[in-house]
Amino acid sequence: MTESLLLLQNSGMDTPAEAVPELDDVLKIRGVGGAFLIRNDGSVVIAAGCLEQDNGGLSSSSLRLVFESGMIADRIRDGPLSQIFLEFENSVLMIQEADNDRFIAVIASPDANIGRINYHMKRQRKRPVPAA
Amino acid sequence: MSPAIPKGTPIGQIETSLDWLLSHTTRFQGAIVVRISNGKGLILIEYGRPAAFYYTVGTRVIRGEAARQFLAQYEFIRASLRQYTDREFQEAMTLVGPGAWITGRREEAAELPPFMKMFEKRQGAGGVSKSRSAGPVAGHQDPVEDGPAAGKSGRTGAAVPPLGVKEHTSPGVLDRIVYIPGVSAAAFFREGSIVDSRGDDSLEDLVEPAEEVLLSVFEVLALLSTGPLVQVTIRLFGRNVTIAPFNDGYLLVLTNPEVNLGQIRKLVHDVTEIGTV
Repeated sequence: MTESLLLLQNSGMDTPAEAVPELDDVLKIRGVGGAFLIRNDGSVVIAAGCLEQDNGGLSSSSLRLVFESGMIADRIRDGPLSQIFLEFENSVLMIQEADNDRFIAVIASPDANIGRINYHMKRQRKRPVPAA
Repeated sequence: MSPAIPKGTPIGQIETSLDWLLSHTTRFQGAIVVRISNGKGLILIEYGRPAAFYYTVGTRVIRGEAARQFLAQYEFIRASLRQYTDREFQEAMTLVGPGAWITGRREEAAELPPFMKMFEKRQGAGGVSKSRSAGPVAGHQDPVEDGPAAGKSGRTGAAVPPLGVKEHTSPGVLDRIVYIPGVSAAAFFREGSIVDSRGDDSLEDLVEPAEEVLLSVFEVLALLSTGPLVQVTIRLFGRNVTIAPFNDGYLLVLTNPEVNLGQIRKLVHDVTEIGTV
């Protein structure tokens, strides 16, 4: 199976190219409504599947959640943060670090295959970053 | 006389200004029950737009724009947020009467974005607002809040136990949880402190960051309009930390890393069932 990588086209001379996870893949999982790639400054790098809503607000709230969860990780001293799983009555939100300064957030229905989403998110984390 | 408004789904409590409340309830549909010293009232929000204001002190009642201006002069008002379905919202609007309505609310009401509609299918319409307080999830016994439509069923009952379920107190639930394989510690906390705990680990240090996490969760909740919180699980490489609403507080459960998300979800759902029996 071949894989393709999307590249962000940066105009800055010193800015290296970044691999963008294929969020469309995760949207193929039944029950997944949307996915975001969030930079650690709160900006949305890419969003798929749910472009109508307040992506900016959701990304900054998700990022805050990551930081607050990091505080728990600091207190409990049982290793770094691996994933945040939020379950609401009508949906779930999963947030996971994609690389050093970006996070993937996936929104799905509660009956979605969480294991598959998990697998996909972990897979994205291991993707190699292509040379610029 | 206070109107007996529908109970709806409790979201949370907060102390803040009216301006802040109104600017942070985008896409929310429901009631904000407010209290200021010896008075109480409510604001009905229709998908982010204030639709009605009602305030009463003793036998005096003010409605509509006058109530809005009255509430606006306070720097802090104590507010409880309740999410409504369309039917509950209309019921509440009828109860407060046309005098409380803000003119032009229909024209101002925002259309719910398609993305949000995706998550509204089970419970009907209704956004959820954020609360900056991770306070008790159960509603207090306020005559304005508790009406004939109270006793909404479903998982939300875990947050608001009906009368007569007090036998399902945290000690019994904690005893059950802590014997589940993979659980290393469990606690029940409320308003910044641990009420009861089991297991080897001291969880006192985790309450404060857990409440901070809940604040962020409520912010997410406000944006997603996705029903009440069931649980948050923070997965660390060496431990899982789960926070779940239970009765008038929250359960905090530590599990070993080999416990997977499916098992954690089952644990939370089983405990929630206990709370709703």
